Amino acid sequence: MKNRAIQVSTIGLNSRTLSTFEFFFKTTCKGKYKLCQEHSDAHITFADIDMPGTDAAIGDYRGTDSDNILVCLSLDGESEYGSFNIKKPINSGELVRLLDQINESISSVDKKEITETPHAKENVSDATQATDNVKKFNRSNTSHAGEQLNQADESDFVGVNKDVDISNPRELAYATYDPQRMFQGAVLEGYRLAKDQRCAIQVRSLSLNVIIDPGTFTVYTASPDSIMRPTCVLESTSKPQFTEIQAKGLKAAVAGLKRGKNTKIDSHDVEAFLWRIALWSSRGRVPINTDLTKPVYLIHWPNLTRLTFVPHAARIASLLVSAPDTLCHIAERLNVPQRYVFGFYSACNALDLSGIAKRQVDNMFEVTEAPVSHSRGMLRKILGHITRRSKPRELLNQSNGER
Amino acid sequence: MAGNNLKIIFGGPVGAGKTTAIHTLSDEPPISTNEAASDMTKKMKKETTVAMDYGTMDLGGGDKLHLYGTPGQERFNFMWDILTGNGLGLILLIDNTRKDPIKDMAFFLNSFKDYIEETVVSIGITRTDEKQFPRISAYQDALKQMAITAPVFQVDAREFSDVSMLVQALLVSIDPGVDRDNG
Repeated sequence: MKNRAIQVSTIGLNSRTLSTFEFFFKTTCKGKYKLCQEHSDAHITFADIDMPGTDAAIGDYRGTDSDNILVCLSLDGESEYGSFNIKKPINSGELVRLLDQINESISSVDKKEITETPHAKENVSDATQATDNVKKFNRSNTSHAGEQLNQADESDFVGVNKDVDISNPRELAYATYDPQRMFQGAVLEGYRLAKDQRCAIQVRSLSLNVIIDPGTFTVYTASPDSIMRPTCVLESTSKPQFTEIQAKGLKAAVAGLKRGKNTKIDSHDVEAFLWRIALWSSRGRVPINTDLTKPVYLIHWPNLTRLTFVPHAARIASLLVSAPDTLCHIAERLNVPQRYVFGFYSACNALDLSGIAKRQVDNMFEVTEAPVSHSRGMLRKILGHITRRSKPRELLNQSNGER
Repeated sequence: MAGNNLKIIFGGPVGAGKTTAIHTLSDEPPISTNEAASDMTKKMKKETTVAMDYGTMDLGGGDKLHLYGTPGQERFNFMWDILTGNGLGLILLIDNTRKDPIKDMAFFLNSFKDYIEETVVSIGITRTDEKQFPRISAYQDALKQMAITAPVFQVDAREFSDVSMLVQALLVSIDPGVDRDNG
């Protein structure tokens, strides 16, 4: 089994802990162990049993008939699951000894094929509800953040529209959408109200139900992405409902979002949520009031590491932040499809980062072409190098099948 | 024929994650001149960088990108000028859990002022999972006051995708037309 990694799945570990384990496995354990997404690919499962909700997640995990070795992490070093226990704070020597002991037992019975890389599953449509719940539990609040997109995901976020001729009004209609009549408009209005009233607001629109807490910049929802994404493209004929929630009632209101025993409540950073909703709603279009002949501004760079990835976002941001320009001209300058620029603009617009440049000074000067660095060849090589190295993570995200 | 060599500088206060970020990006195990901390730095981390961290990215064809980390302690800031010569730009890492991280950012931007005027800067805010405030928008407001436009991202210095985004932002700030080499 030399040079082959034992796969480790997790329950209830946040992103920082996962990163620490990833680093620990890679360095201290010299790559003998590797984190994976699916319990079915794993030989060992780590569960942090001090985390709220872990009991249910372990119940779901056991329902999958997994024969993985369960290692429970807890403050008192004990658990009722009859498994291996590790006391927190974790002593690295103790953990290494335990892992090596498990490794030996796995190698001796050779009960599963030990693979060199995580098994990237393209299709998770037949996954059971139970494993879905476990997977969801494993995701951190910002697990969507900065993720790379595969082609199928890309069309969900930036659509498939071809470039439009802005002088043709018929084509223009295909490039716009009306956020006010969609779930996006309801959420934006709810967030504005929450900030004005300085209290949490529950928003109900198009069968979706979210709570926005402006104090912690958090959005709570029990609707999974698989429901939210298609609902975001629908227009509503009825008005959204807004309910104020005072601090003492927030916990109960969030718990009340649950629609059934197996419902999981997700929390998201409000900016990451608005960005994602705007991408799903716009699908590569711009808000209906956007005059595509006018230059637009970008106040500052969006926090790209914690927002859903839009192709060429950094290049678009770099140009727009330096000077206002029309969106079509940006697409032309970067030689990218307009839908990327339109989608990026719509998402920034939802965060109040961008809008139509109305100041006279913005139209006084003709946009100058971006500088061409004499080191462009080298810069391109560096970009290619780090993008290629990002690919394993890209595959990992694809294997989530997160839609 | 010797290949091309370019340089990116990592700056920021003690414990912000410069050493880790270089470790995350470097193709080879980086060289670090860490030493046991002997002063107030000890409260923050057991070892600290006293001269520099150094890592490389091998770009092929003999071309290399050199990654230099400046020492976080101010008493070693004579090293900063030595390290910045011929650099592509600065990646500034700020620890969000420190007492006044926005003041830290202002201090380092001022210290590297001449360098930034000639090149570009991209800013990573670390440890935001431990302390949520200040938010990224507060850093952007402070930059606006300083008349500086720069990308500011939440980063975990151990995450390749986060540190990579800082580098990408730096590169496209130099030349927005640059697209990745598929070769």
